[in-house]
Amino acid sequence: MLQVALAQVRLNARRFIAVSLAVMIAVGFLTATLIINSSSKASLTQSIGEGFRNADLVLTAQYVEEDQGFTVLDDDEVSLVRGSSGVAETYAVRAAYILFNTDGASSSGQLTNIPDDPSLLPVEVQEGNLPAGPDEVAVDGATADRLDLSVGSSLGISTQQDTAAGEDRELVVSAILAESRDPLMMGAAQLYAEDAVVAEYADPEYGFSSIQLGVSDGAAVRAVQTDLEQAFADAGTRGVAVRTVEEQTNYTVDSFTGGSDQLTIVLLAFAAVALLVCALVVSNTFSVLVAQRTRELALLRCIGADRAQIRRSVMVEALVVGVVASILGVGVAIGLMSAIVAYLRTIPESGFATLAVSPLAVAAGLGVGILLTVLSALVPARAATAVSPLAALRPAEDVRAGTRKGRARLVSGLVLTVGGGLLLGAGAVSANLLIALPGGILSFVGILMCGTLFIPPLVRAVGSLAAPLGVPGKLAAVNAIRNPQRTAATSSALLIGVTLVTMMMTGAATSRSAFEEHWTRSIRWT
Amino acid sequence: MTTLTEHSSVPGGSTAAAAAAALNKTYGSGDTTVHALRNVDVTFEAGTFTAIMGPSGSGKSTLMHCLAGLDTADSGRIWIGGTEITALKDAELTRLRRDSVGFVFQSFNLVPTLTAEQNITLPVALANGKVDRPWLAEITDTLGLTGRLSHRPHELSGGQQQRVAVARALLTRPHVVFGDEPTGNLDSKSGAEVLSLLRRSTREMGQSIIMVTHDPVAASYADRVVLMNDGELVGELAQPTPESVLAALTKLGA
Repeated sequence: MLQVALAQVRLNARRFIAVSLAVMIAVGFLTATLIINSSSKASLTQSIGEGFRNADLVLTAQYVEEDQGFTVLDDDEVSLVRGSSGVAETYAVRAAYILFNTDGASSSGQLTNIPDDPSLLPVEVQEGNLPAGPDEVAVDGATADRLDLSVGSSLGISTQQDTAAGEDRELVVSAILAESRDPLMMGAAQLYAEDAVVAEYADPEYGFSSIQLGVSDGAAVRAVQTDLEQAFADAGTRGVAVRTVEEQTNYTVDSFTGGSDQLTIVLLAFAAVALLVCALVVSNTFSVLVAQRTRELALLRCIGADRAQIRRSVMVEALVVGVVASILGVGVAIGLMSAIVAYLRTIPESGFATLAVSPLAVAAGLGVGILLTVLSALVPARAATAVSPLAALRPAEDVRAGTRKGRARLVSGLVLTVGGGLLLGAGAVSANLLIALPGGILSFVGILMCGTLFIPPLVRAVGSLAAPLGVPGKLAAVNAIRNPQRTAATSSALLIGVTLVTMMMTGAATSRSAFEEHWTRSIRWT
Repeated sequence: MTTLTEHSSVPGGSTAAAAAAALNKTYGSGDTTVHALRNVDVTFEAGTFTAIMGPSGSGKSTLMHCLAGLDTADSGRIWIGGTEITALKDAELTRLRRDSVGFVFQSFNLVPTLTAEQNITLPVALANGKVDRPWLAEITDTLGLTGRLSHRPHELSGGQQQRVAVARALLTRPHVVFGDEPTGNLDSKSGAEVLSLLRRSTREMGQSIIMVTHDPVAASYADRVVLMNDGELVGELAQPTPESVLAALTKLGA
């Protein structure tokens, strides 16, 4: 039977094109959504982590309820850290926003201090040497290119207030550094100078933006972390968070991406709809394929294929289609996302974009795609086993709706419609997508299963409108409902398509009008 | 010579290729009830070529369907090769069809996506068995198919397709081969080829064949003709010729 199934797929490949496309699109959508999620997290993690990538632990100031404000990291904290056992190098980061002039052009930038131990500096030196005195400054490569600076060029530093007074501090570029991909620093020029210089321009009330440290050889990072936390508690200092680089990165990323999980949920909802439609298309296609092959199936039963072999043959066809289409779908998703990320990297603001294809994205895409295709073919496969060998010798008889199977289908359909409808209503009232989506899916599947209840009467009613066309009209009207099962099945395909299009367009129009209303309202306030 | 004997009933017997006793079957209900088989008793000897004949609606096809296990009778008993098949479940009937029975239909005998050779060996493949290669070679040689084995059905003529179907039916050396108007769609030359091959398989290989037909010329190739009318067995002919068959049929109509 494997032979028969494979021969079918190979020789009638064109019949499987539409099904394969449906699976490809649904799987591609799912995989792309998961890749977007993992890529945005990875992009942010990588870039945010740049700010302290050479450190072992990072201390940052937290918001303290009792003080109604942020703790300030200053020299007290730094000496506590320096005095702690297991701490080898310490880097108290101080930054200031400054203006600097080069050849008459004025630019803004961030001036950061360099650490005592250059190993903690998060960026690499590309040319020259780090500033060794109060008259030297290091500039990032992008800014150097933009402003035509090189080692030995000079520039004048000032703040907003100083410019008016015309007092510029002259500094000589001693090094060109690699550009940091930290999104907080991108876009502006990144300059580094000795701490004494930076302290002149930094806001003293603000303190250090973070304290980074490297642990000594042989010391465990976790142990040092706990020791420091204990030390701060003993000193009565609140609001200092001691985190590993990974913890700090995740913390910052989470504060950035609070909204992106919402986006993922919405995209996954669309992916779920795509998968449902795909399942319906697969089921419909295989039903048609089985119906077209009634005589051949009957012949096989005559020659001695048992029901299990027949069912397996249909499932093998579905498996082949599922595997091929899922692989293609995942491939298309990866290709598309690669192209998008490559494009994003050419834009400076999003230059930190990275492509992260998580194993989950690939596994989910392949797994869901294959499982979906095979499961959707289960019902048509069972129908195939119901073909009697006699059908090879005389035309098959139509299944009447009065049979037990027909009634069971109708009952389950009604249950799904009502149950799903209630869920949908509940979800709509409480504005919860996670309740409404399954409700929508269940009720829609239920309506499709009850198709034979309402579609033939509707078609008959519309058919009566064709009566004025004479005999062809009357024939058409009668033929349309001659076989209620067939009418319902054919109409289902159209029903799915129209429902999907209407739903998407209604959703788009609703979001647009909601957005416009929100926009005009907020404009009125400004 | 030709003799018209009364129908005889010897059910069972391990030498019979197929047999039926007190077979009854009706279709439909109420006004449209059709008594397809009325108390039919019949035995088919092993190693014989029998034709079942009768006018339309005589029940000959229904009889063959029941004998082959494709359809169930309302009452009565059926044997194939000494095994009673009346009470067999679907899975066992399927296995019986695979291993002990061969079929040749009027048309649509072959799986269109497989080659001739794959079609011939299909029952063996379904049983996960090994093909008897020398036997396969002998059959295809006798049927003149050796050069066509890698072709698909649509590349074969009608006569060649029917010969492939016959080869498939013979390969498993079944207890009985059933033919449902096997030459109905063929021209007289191809038809004659197929029928003489069937007769040769009975004479030379001892294959039992039961064929339903309405064509007197086709029936004349058989060793025995069984006549049916209105669901009943009404007569028999031994050593038929086209003329004697025609005469018997005309008498039925009278």
